[in-house]
Amino acid sequence: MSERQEQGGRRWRARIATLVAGAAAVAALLFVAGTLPQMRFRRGLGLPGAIDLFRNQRLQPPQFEISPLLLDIVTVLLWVMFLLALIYVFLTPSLRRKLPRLVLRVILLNMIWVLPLLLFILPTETAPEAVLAPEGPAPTPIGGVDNLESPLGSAVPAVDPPPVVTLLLTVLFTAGVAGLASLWWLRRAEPVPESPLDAVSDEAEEALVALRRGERVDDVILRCYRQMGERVAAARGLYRGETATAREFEQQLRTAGLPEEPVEALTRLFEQVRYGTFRPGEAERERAIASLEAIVAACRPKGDQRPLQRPVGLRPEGGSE
Amino acid sequence: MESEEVVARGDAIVAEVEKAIIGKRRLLRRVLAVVLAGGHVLLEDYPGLGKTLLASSFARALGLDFRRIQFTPDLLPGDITGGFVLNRASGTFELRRGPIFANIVLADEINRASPKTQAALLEAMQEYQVTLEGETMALVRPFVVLATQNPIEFEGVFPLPEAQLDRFMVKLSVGYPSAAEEQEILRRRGQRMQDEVAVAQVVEVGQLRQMQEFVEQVYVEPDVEKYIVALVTGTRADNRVAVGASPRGSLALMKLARAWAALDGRDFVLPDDVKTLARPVLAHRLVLQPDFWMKRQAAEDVVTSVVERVPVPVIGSRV
Repeated sequence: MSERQEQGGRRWRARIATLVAGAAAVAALLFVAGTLPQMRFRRGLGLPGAIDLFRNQRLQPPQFEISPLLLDIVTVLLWVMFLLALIYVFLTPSLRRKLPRLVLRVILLNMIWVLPLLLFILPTETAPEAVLAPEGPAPTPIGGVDNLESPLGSAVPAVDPPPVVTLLLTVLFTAGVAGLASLWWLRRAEPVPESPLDAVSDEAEEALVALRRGERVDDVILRCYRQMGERVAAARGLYRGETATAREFEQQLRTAGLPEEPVEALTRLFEQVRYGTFRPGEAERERAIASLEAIVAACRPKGDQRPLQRPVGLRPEGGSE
Repeated sequence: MESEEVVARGDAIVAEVEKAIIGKRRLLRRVLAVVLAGGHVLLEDYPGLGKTLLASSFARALGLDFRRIQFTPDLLPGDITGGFVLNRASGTFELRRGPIFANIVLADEINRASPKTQAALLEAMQEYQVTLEGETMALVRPFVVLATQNPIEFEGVFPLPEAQLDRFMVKLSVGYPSAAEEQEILRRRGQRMQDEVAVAQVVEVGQLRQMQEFVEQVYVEPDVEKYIVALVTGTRADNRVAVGASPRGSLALMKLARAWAALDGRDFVLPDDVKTLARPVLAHRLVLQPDFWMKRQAAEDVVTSVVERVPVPVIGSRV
């Protein structure tokens, strides 16, 4: 199987996974919406407490208890993950561009475990008769919105459909929505691949940040070259085969519209580091930075006027920011 | 000697030879690289393309001793190596050195001589020595054999055996000049008013040896070595090939790639060097299966397909 076919397979697998996650999220939202007839407002509480979503469950003996220790552990883990994610995003500029899409994916995937949770809680709903006529003395209404609990009085029976009907309708509606969404999503045009130039620009920016962090110049050049090759190979129209040399790849980059001089300079540096015994010094560091900056500048969209990330203290004397 | 000096001298040599051989810069650079790598060249092409002129011009530009041997069916080994002859005046046998005792030996139409005579070159080409009457004599260095053969004649010729072919570092073709180049040949001949081309000496023998010493110091990264081995073993694994390239082929490819890198101003070998030189170094060492030989499948195509499927070590252990 060729690399291009493998990429196509991966793209379809990712697409189907996202589709499943999206369908699960829609289903979860609809299940939540299905409980709305049971929703009651409670006075004197803030918004989260005022919406009594699971009133029926409260009337039942608790089915399970979540340990406070478990909640503490989950909270701590979430904070740690949040901080790690924040650091990661801060250190990798290319991820910042993808952040919205990534967050959306995480939310959708998390809805998968929300759904079983709701399924576990919702089936404990009791029959409407039991709710309307609980055993023992009826609670004394105090007034306010709770007085509107049954506007027609106790003589009028509840009109809520049976839970099974609600469940079936919800499932059917979910399947319909998910099916329509799937059809639309699968039939739409091929997603526009990331521009090869954008990929190169991302890698160049990352290498610049690495240089600023003080990594060895030869390591940065090698890493930049490897990542750039992988990313550009994944993009349509600029595939670097396994049998292509660095100079042949350089020619491809030139053909793709990258500036000749910095690409050539970076390739020559790569060759010296990769195949030779030469260890780059300050002059090569400056040359690498200048080449990378030129590549980044050339790869930016025409309207993008953001300043380049220049490594502090690595610019030549008198170099303007 | 610095890298820049090697490049400058190499360019000067090629430019000087180019006065005689017009429009063949790439070929001339390859021949010079073989000389620097200490190898031998087999030129296979049609008559009249300047093979002899190329050899003599290089000898003059390099300041080396040049001898030409016209190979014929009745040529004997002693005609190449020399031998002991009786001096009637002194009544003793004296050594008369043959044309093999030169720096550059042009073996013209080498496939016209019998295998016995062709074999006279084996020891000289591989071990840079000649054995006469049990006495071994070292050849002068640098020693380069430039052999030519005609690819269109099949009668009255003795194809070189594989052992002989393997001793040539490369097999090259001169090729026809373009129309403009051919016109330039005519124009220069008209200006010279004689057939002989004046080629000046560009370097001394000592300087040539310095260039060869620089080539010996050119670095070959281990992954590039693996790439060379992968190419050579790839020719052995190809189902079209009965006998693949030998380890001598690997050595030849590495040595020539180093010389090529030096002429390009580098002290390290790139995969590009290996890729560029794989065909001229390996193709003539392959023996194809009879089926493919009958189909006139060229060994060059086999090497090309091997080059096209062996991964280049761009991203490797150091990345």
